Amino acid sequence: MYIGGKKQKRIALVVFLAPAVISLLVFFLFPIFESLLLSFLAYDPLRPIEDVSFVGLQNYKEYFQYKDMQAQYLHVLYYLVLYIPLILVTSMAQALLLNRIFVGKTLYKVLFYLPVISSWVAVALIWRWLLHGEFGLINIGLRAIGLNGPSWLLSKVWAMPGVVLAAVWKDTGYYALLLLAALKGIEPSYYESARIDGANSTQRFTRITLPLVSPTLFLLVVINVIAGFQVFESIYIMTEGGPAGATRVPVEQIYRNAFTYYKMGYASAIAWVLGFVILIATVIQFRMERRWVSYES
Amino acid sequence: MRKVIKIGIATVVLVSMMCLPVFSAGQAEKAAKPITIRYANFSAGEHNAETLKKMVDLFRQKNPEINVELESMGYGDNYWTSLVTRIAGGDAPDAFELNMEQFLAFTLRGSTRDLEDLFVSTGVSKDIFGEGLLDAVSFNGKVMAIPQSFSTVVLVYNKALFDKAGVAYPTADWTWDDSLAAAKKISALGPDIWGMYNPIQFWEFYKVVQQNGGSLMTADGKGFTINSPQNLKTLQYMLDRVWKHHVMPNKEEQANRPEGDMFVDGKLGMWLNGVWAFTDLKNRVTFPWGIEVEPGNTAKATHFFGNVAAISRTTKYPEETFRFITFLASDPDVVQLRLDAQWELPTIGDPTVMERYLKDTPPDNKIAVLNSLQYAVKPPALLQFSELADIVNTKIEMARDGVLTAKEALDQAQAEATAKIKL
Repeated sequence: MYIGGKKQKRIALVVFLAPAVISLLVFFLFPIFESLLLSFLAYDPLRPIEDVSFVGLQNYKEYFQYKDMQAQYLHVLYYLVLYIPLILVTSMAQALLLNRIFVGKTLYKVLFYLPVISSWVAVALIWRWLLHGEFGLINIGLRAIGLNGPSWLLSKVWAMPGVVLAAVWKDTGYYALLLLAALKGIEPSYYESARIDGANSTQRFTRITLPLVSPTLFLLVVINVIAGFQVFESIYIMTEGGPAGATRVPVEQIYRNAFTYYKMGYASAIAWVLGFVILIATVIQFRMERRWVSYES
Repeated sequence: MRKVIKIGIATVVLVSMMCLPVFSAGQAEKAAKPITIRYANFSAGEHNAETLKKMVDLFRQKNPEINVELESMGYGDNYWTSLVTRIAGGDAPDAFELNMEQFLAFTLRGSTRDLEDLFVSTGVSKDIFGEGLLDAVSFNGKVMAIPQSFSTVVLVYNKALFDKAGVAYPTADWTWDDSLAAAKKISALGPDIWGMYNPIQFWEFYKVVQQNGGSLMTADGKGFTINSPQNLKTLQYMLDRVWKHHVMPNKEEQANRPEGDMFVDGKLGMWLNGVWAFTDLKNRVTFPWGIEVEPGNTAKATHFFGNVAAISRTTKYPEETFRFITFLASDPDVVQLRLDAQWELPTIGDPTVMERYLKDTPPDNKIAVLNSLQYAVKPPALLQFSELADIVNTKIEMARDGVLTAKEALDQAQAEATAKIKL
């Protein structure tokens, strides 16, 4: 499309940007700052607006005194420690596989992408059965190799790994696709010259492939740490925070306080604390980036 | 000049006269145009969506000037989240359905409208409702909602399993010991056959403690008694049914199967459920089944559930909305529709209505549904009720999962509730 004239160009710019900018303002920036304001208020959504009162830092103080806060962040860390390495390894392995040429590759791609587009409700239903202590396929498999599997979702220790397994299974196809794009972007000539120099496949992988996809791996780590801190849906559907509170996470507390206890101000304070924690985690990751990510230049 | 002014005035008068009929016609049209009220509701669910629609059609036939927009959601479909959001956003439906627990939460917070003046202005009599039902929805001496339906929970039992185990059917004076003895014999029938099923959670706990003379709060409501000796004994009894006597499946043995399906499959001897389940059971169960008042220990206590319709504090049409929700609760044709659908029980006081309900079998012994009402217990009325429920429930589930002993669970719940709930 040709757009002539400076003024027309400016109008076109505005028109094309408007949908994104308006939705960003209305659905993200405005609510974000609104929630910051709310976090200093005692606001009960069911009460008339006149009853709202300013409480300063009271909501934050109350939250820091709450001993479950610590437990919930520990649960999130447990989730991250298990999830991040697993998702990186599985999606990398899958991407390497998809980068080769073999019969039925398209079908294979579709099959691996199916969990990504499935709803969590359906996935949770399947995995609750797969993880069942007695009749679950996973434990039947473990028994076949002489291991006695736990009652995954009913055990305080194993419930989180159970959720992580389901989440990895569901998400891996998506990240594999991102890594596949990164793999496709590597010049074949690098491998050719490495081969001529006598590098074996392990050397080619660690010296060429890994460094060149490291920016994508870094991206995956960053977005998964952020998403991990916000984990909610999978846990809410699979374990409802149980057994005995072993999988309770901060976002679940936000939801519970806002919509079950009608403490919107307090819930907003929890949300802002979470936002701050994620910010710190992300800053730390960017500081560490230099040590292991190499950008081709 | 004068002529011009005269012509001018004449023109203005003429034009106004021409316009006048148009204006008045417009106003008349406006008055005749039906207004629309919105009713958010959950209890119809999928099962009774058609019935509710028929009820609204009846109302429309008799009140053509009032349109009703139904906003139906299932209880599990974030009904509460969406309702709270809409009230907070200033877009509250004119009327909304609440269960008893939420009725209290919404009314304590001032989201519902006082109905006293509407009884007067519409001439609807308070006497049409069943005894005590308006008291249940009164707050500071004012009626704050119209009870739409109520239901009690009864002991539902599988007669075939009782026969097979050679145990006499339950009676109204059964106690915990009787039901446990029967449950043991039924459980002995097979590996996946269970004597009884009563979930181990807060909602069950606050009722069962009252069967044993306990309660969660002191009589004056100024303190908690969660870890009283009676309550401890009660929780232990609930846990023993699973772990000691093995008459109820644990979570692993239940294997994600809904209790209702286990009963229908003939795997449960006794089960507690509300009258709302009768239609489903009638359709799916192939063996003979019966009902009885739930057994107690030193006293009887049963669950009572009521759904009420409240009017929003901000509605523009309080009278029309009031007429609609009282119609929905009391019109004879609507009541008949409710009874035909076995959609809980109607809240009107007419005894002939109840006779019709009792005659409709199976199950036999329908009178148990009404008898249970005598022993109905209510959850504590607290602003922070949901928090209390979560605190106690978490600890009880920890006991259920073997993480805490019964005593540890209740001691911790007592300490946490005392610290966090303002009384």
